[in-house]
Amino acid sequence: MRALLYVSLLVVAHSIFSAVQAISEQKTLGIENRSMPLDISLECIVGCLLSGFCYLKTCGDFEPISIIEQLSSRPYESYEHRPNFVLFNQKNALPSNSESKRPAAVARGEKSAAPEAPSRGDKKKST
Amino acid sequence: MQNPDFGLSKEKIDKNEKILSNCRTFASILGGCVTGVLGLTGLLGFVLYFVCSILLSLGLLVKSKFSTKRYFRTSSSIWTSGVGSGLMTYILFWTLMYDIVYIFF
Repeated sequence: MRALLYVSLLVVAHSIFSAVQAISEQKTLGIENRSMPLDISLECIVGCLLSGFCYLKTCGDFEPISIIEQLSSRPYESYEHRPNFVLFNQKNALPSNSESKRPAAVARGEKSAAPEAPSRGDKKKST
Repeated sequence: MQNPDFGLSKEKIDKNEKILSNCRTFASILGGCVTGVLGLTGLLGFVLYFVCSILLSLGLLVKSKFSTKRYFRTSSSIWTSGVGSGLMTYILFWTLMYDIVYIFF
């Protein structure tokens, strides 16, 4: 439908160019009562109607404004699967599978280091 | 006194109004081009604008499946919203096209 919209806009542009040429030709021939040829008029009208129809189809759909209607269309399960609190920008990096990401203090084995956070599926113990 | 927009989503209202405004502007541009190319002048040009506006409103009515209350605050929004600003756009393109076709070249 969008391609048809572009084609119809090209048709309108072509009709405008054709109209300019037709009128300038009539001026050159010295015709006093200048009128637009019927085919150019029809081309312009049909192009505009078609592009208007295509634009109505492609401009987007209206959405219901009632909040109750929006909420009633959501499944009940969507209220249970909401994102939990997410931790980010932590100074002590969260444990991961690669050892290179462990904090330096823990890697040196210092006792004053912060206790290691529970690993997620990492079976290797720090030594 | 209860808020008249109680129970309505402002985001959806704004979105629908934006679609309506864009359609009105597009139709005004097309209508102005047609009127200028056809060489219409005077009151006939303004009559054609209102014809274009009514045609657009009918198209939007079909698009909303004849239930305008579901998508807009008032049922008359489809018929009256953006008509004044659309008229200015229409006159702009009407005069521009008429000048290009009949006067400049």
